[in-house]
Amino acid sequence: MRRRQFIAALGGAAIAWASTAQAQTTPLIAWLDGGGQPRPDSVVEFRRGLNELGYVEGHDVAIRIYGVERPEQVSEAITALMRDSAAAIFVNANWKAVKAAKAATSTLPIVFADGSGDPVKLGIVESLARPRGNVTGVSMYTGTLVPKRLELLRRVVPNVTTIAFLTNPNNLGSELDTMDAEAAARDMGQDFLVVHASTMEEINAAFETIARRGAGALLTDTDVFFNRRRGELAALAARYRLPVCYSSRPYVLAGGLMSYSDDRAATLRRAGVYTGRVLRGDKPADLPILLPTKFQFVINLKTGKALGLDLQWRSVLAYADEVIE
Amino acid sequence: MNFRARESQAGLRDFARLIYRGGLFRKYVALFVAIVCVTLIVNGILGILFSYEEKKQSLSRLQRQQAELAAVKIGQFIKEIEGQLGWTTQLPWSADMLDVRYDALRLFRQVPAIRELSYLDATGREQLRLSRTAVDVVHSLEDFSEDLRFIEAVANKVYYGPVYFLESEPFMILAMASNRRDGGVIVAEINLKLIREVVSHIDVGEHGQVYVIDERARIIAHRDISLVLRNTDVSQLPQVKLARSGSDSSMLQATDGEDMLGRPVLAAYAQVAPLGWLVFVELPKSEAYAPLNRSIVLSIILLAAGFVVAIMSGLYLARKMIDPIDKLRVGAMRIGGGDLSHRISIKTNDELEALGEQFNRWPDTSRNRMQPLSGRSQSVLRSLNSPMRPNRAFSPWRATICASRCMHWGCSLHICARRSNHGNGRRRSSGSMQRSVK
Repeated sequence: MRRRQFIAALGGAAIAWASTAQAQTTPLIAWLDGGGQPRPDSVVEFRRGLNELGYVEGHDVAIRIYGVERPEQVSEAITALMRDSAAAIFVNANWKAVKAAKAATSTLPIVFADGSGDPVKLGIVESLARPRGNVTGVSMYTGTLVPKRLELLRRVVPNVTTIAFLTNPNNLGSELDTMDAEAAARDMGQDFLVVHASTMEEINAAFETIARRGAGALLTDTDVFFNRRRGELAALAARYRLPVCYSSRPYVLAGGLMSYSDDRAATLRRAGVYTGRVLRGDKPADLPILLPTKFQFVINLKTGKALGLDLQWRSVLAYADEVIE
Repeated sequence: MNFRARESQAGLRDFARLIYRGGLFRKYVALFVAIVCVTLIVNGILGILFSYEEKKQSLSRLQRQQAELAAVKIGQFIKEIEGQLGWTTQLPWSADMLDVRYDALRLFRQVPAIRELSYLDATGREQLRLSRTAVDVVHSLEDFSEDLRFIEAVANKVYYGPVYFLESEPFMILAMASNRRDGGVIVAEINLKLIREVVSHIDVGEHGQVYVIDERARIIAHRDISLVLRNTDVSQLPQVKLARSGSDSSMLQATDGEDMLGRPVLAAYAQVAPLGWLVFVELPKSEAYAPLNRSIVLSIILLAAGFVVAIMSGLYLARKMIDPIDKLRVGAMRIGGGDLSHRISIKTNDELEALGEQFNRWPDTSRNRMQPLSGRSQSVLRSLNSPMRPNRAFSPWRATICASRCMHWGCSLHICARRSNHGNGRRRSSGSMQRSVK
């Protein structure tokens, strides 16, 4: 009996050894994506970041996507990526996914590149300068951009009485973003309406609520689930004739009115660099959270005209970093 | 033991005999090797010492120049922002806010490092604050009249604030007094993270690094941005201590130091003119001195090769000298021993060859001179000098042979040559005989 156990243990050790040896030859990056599948250009930018450190996908590094659209999928994905003996986890999803990943492993390095709100306040890292633990990443810092977006939206539609704020309660940053937005609205003397949605049905319901309550414009929170539904959101906004300020450029490309955010391409590229550094052996605890420096204000002139907005050069268009016609 | 081994051993034995036997040979070799090697060694060592010092100096100067260049570039980064800010000081800030915002917008576009821009009126109250990330504020009327950014800017036209970290990122305040009569101060908050662009374009060797520290010895620019964002304090590094102590000699040359991991480096630094920052340029010592060490190794190899060549050629030349002399010695010994048919064969085409020829001629001439003494004379000779043996007639030869063993070849050979030429010795001894016969 004992001998059998010994042989089994030996076999197990051999398998474990073989799998680590394999992991050493081509390390696997587990990409947890909150939208199910990442946008192709996101992967391109991420790869570019890896290239900066000499890693080439398919040659000396592998990337595998694990969809985590719903929060309960995160634990499944973590189990799966542990089985695949991933070398690093890249979380391109909301804070809930980052937190779940952090709870599941304290040894595997985790790099994040998404989420609104302050990662320190959310308890993801100890401080921006010294994250401690096994988590680091590129914070989009978009939580603090919510008031700025509100300001820009008010400049586009100066005479609106109520502005609505759409946020996803499944997103850990939602609460903080809402507080920021409400505080800013109060300072500006702006009537404010918060609506929640975490499914497509709820989004539809939220738009009905907005129409019923007579809000004249909408601000959307940073959220990977919303990101994936940007086409539907733009269509709904057109149907309800609602000027909307979104959280990133792709919405505007998909027909949304305007957005103010960091340079998302740069963010993903820097996340790629950080993931490369982690693979190279740098400890996440030694890698401070990167914050964006470049911000883009993008506006869609065609959508503006369709909404019948008077987009003045001096107050609006001059501020735009990019005007889509 | 096979034949070849035996042969080589025999060769070795010969060689050893050659060295031990002939004192002259040893002396020649020693003299030759000594002359060549002393020259080589002295030359080599002096060369190494001088070139080492010289290369070390030029390396140090080069690094120092790099530090100065980096300091100039970083100074330019700030000066450019200052220049851009300059034209906004001409704007009528207190006029229509929309116009001012529109102009300030251009500044944000041109200078990505500016995160916030504010206008303080002549009394030091904030009239407008524009930001990339926060909501713009109009007429906050916050009082900055006691703040250095206002006081210094009004007094000196421009004010460079100390570096401060917001969470992880380094910032500084740059304030400029308005050029207009209504006064006021324009204040820009600059994100120093962007100096990385400047620093990362400066290459120092393969593993060298460039970084900038503020007045409190915190890294504010480094190719590896994480060192900046971690607010790394390097005040304990020896080169930083030395630089901050402000001794003048440390400005001129690169000094020994340590990097953040404690590895030895060659470090040079320069000051960023208006700001009190220091730029450090560091190169790992192993990399810095690699070319020097290579040249030393090369010199030593050349020296060793010179030794070998000197010894080989010493052996060869000495042997060339000794061989004919040895032949002369042996030949002289044999002729002296009575072997008059022996011929000395030396083909060196010099005095030694001529000497050999002289030796060879001697037995013939002496034999010719001996011919007339035949018949009765012979018997007279015998009766006069009965113990005389034919070889006794050559007693001067013996002297010559003995002399040949000593060092003063030229002298003794000269003597014997003269004797053989004129037959002096014989004549003196046999002259009386001849006279008596007559």
